[in-house]
Amino acid sequence: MALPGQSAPDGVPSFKLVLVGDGGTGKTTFVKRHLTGEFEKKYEPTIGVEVHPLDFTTNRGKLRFYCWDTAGQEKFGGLRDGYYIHGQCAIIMFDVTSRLTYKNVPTWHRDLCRVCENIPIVLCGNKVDVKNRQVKPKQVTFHRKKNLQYNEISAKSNYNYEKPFLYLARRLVGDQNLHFVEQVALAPPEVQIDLQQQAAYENQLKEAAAAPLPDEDDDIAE
Amino acid sequence: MDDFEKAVLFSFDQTGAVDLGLKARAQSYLDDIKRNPESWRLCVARFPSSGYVEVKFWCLQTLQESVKGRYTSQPPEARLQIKQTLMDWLQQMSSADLPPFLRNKLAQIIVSIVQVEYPGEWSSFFHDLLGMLSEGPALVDMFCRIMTAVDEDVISLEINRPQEEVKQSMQLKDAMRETCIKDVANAWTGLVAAYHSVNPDLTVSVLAVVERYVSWIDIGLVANDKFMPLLFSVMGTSSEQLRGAVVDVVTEVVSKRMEPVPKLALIQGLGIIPTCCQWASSPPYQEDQSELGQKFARLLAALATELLESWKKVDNQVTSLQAVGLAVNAEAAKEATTACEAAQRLLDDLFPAILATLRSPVEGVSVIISPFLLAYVNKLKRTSSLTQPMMRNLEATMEGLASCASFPSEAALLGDSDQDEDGAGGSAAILDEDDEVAHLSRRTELFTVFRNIVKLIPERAYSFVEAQLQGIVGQSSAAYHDVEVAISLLYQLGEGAPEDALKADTGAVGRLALGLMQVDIPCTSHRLVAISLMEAYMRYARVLQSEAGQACLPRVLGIFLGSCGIGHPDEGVSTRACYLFSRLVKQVRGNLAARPGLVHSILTSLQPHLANIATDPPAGTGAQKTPSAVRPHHAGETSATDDRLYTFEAVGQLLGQEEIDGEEQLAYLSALLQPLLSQIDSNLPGGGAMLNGGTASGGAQDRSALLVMQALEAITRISKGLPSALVTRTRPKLGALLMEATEKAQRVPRLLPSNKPLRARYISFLHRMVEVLGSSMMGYFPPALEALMQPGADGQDMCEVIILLNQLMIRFKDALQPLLLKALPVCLKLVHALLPSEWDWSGRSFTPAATTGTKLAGAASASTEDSRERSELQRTYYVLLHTLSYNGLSSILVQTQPPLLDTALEALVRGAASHVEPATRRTCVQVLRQLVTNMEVSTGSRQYMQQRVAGDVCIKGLFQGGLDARDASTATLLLDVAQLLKLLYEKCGDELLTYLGRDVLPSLGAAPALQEQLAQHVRSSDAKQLKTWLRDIMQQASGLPVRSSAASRQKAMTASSANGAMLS
Repeated sequence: MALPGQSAPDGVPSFKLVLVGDGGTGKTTFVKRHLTGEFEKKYEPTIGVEVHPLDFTTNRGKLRFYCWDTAGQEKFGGLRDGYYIHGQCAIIMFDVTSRLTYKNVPTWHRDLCRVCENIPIVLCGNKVDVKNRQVKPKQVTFHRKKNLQYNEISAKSNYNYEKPFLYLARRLVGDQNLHFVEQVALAPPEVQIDLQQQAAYENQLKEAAAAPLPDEDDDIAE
Repeated sequence: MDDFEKAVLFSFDQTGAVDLGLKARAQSYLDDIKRNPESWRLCVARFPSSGYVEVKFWCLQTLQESVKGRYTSQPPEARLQIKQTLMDWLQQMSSADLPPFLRNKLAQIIVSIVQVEYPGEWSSFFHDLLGMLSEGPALVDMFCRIMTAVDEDVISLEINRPQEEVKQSMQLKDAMRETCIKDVANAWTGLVAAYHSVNPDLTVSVLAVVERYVSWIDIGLVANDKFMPLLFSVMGTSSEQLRGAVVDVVTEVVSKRMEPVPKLALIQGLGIIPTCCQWASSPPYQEDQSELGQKFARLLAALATELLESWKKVDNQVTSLQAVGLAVNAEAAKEATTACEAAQRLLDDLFPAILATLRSPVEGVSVIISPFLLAYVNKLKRTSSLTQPMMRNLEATMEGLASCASFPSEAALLGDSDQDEDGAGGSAAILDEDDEVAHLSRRTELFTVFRNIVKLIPERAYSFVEAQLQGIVGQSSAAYHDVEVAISLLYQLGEGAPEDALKADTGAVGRLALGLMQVDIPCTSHRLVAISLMEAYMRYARVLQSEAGQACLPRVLGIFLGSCGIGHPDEGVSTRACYLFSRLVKQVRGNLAARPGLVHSILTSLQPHLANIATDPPAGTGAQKTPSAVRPHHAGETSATDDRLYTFEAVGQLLGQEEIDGEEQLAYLSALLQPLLSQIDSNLPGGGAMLNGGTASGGAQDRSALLVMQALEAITRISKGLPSALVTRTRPKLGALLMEATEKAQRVPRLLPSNKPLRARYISFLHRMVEVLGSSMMGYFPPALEALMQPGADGQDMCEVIILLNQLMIRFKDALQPLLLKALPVCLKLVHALLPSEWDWSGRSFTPAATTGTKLAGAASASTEDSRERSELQRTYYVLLHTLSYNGLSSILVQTQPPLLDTALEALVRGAASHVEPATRRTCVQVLRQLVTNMEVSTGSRQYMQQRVAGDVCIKGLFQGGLDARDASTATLLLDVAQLLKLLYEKCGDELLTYLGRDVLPSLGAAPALQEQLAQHVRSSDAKQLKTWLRDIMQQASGLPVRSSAASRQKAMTASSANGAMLS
């Protein structure tokens, strides 16, 4: 499964993971939390993509995500959707403290799906540690229309760090009972998340999952 | 491979195999090509000839950029050539065998041209496309991709588009409706007919396009006697994907926005209802087809919701006509009735299928239907009379909810962990925990529906729960999940239940609760059952106060005290039990007072738990758990306090009753306190715990401090149940015991002065003891305060001390004078050591909005927390001065030595004149008012009042910025300022007005008219009018429109007409 020239250790399955989303949503911070990935990353300064090998140990053995962090690309330049070619799974990230980044999620999703048809995708709402969030769990409905997984995360506090990877691993391996057996080595949290507040959000999310979808032309992010 | 191809491949490489310099050269070479307006010629030539997908992709991407950026500026022959080439590629598609991402890219380029040329220059586009469909599946596939790109790139409003593109979307839809959509729709029908059996995947693509277009095309184009029967015939296919796609299209058709009556006609015309009804007995999907199952559930939910909505809308139309007094003509009324009846009948028909879906074991299916159920029950609440079928639906829903709400059986859970061959139990347990959290929140939603049904048909709901309970009581073989759900349903009945229903003897719910207390419940040792049972007992604690309930008290208390409660091996259960037990005791303590035997046995059985809790403090404050594992029941894990300490509160409640024999009470309290006191003693430096090793390690010190804190908190909790009168007057021996505890505790700040959490715990202990012991504490405070106010105290330390002093002043008033005479100067010195005269009294540099602009590099961020603490101290300090002056103690302040007094007054005036928070200024202004009231008028004091108080605080303070006149808290501040001005006028007379007019207002650039107005208002208006005037002038000064009461408006207008901006 390794890409040409990228050698995963023998027998370790590897997957190309494309990480997209508006600038400033925390994609780079997220991917750098994983310490082995940060250590082994390959940096491509001229074109603006970083590829990080992120290793996870599951009950069925090790696996590796080659995480393509497509940060810092300007509108005309770089390969843009060219980076998505041969992507096997993806994370679309937005920032819960910025409505616009959520509004742009459908565009990222469209561009991604045109290049990678039928791949498992996780939508991640990042920065849930910030007190003043603008996109409430109730307003996040896009994943339900498109059958994506949705996770609230906080890259800075490591909150739910492993959740998106676990979902992708289960889908890619085709085993719903797959689980991670070792703690992932993460950089220490920079902020503490308010667990009670987050528990309240999680509940809202569950409630929202049961609520009817807003009509298409209702502007959900307003 | 030539240089161009190499350059593209290098630019794609992310393996690190290509030299960075080489890669940069390749990139700049390619960028040069892109910049050339003729780049499309290279792309057109190289796309078909290259064998590399990367090169092909690059060609298409560059071509797309060129079309998007420069197409309209190209000469006509170039445009024609580009277009022709693209259409040629399309024609050759069957032999090209391109990967999907290249086909999509091609479709996008074509749509980019369509955006420019359709319908104007290329009105035949869609017909050209339709003409190619006969060429075979490859062209059909491209047709679908192009139609999808049309939707995604132009039409769909799901994509965030600028206003201009929204307009374009409408224009394209209009043009398509006019010229081609009918033929396109016919083509869909033809394609589905032609391909559904030979090429299901291709048919899925066609249907996915249909699903995108249904919402805006004439519904008759799909809901007709050709397309729909065709779809239903396809429904029987073996392809799961294809069935799913069919269901999605039908869902979209059903959900189309329409008026209610035509919508009902559409649904009936589709003939879908009878098909759906069959799903009640045989679901149209297998258990392993989760995605398909969800699609069917969404269709059913859409149908049910649309029927309900149509019914509601017709109903509402009639109601709103009647509400405005318009007559509804007979024909329209009849039509409305028919429509409502039809909708209800169809819903009744669908109900068995809806409930089967609710009970579905397939993942993610059941959750889709519950919003409809809630909406349905809410609609019935607004329906005048319930029909028989409605009652049946509601009762069946209760059953469905109950089975859906119960936890999965133990066997299913075990099954999961059996698969875990590596025995990595830890991870498996976490997963189960996640599932449990998910299930609990799913239940919240189901129980909401249940509670609404209860409100609608209470009697039947009570009987339903009764039947559930009868199924479990006395049944030793009952499964834990049945027991748990029956109890939880009973718990739900209590929310919002009418008073009558809750009575133990006559109320239906009360009787059920009593029944649950009278008999043995199976499976109580199960974690989930134990928690739900205790929650239910607590909710219905009032039942225990009845005569019949009294008899159950020992049994119920036994549950809390035994191995199902506080003694449960699961920490979550035992912690929750502690909390619930303390709440229960508060409810029934009156009933227990008369039963000393029972109290005695409770205390005896609590003994080991109390000892355990006291000596086993939690190591930290909840940070060690992984964040993912938030368990709603385990409040103790995430909150900073240890919920098990509630047990001590319960004990205090039990003990603190006069009915208990005095001697016994004393003995109990003494027995409770002694171990806690020796725990404090032995864990303080010099105590027994430290003697062993001489010097204790850091870890052991931390643990000792935790043990001291736990003991202090335990005593605090106990004292909450002891009434002050009992402790100080009726039974002073009890007070003596607490006093002894207080004496012991006094060593804490002296021996461990640097331990902040411990110090804070000690101070909260003091707060509590002041409330219980009252004035007998008086002698205790001089040494305590001395220990707390040590040189070097920081901002937080002093805040804590001041809050304690405030409590004492409010409680003891005059009696505190001797103490304050000594303590206040010490306190002031320490405060001003932290807040020196160069301190920023306005607080401006510490408010978040202000810091971003003026932040000093480096040093500032390090001391932010310190500055925040000091500015907090400044506010608390003002509260101290406020408390002093409003409890008749300001003389103490005045008696302070002059330098200290001056410093304090200066701090006060600066805060009153400049603080960014109106509320803080207000505190200061009120203190000043109190001080001025007591001031004797002399030359010196008059000058002070005029210059500092009137000039600096009242006038300059308001008009030198920093306040928002529209802010409500500014308005309350202004009233205090107005009152202060009036008071100053009383003291100083016209001299004040002269001073303000001559020295203060001109320095602010105010017009002479304003001076007169001020003088007039201060002299003759009341404080409220003066306040309004001040506000208006402030608003003018900041350029805001003036909105004021009619009385002051005229004056304000004179002011503004005299000089547009009087204050610059």
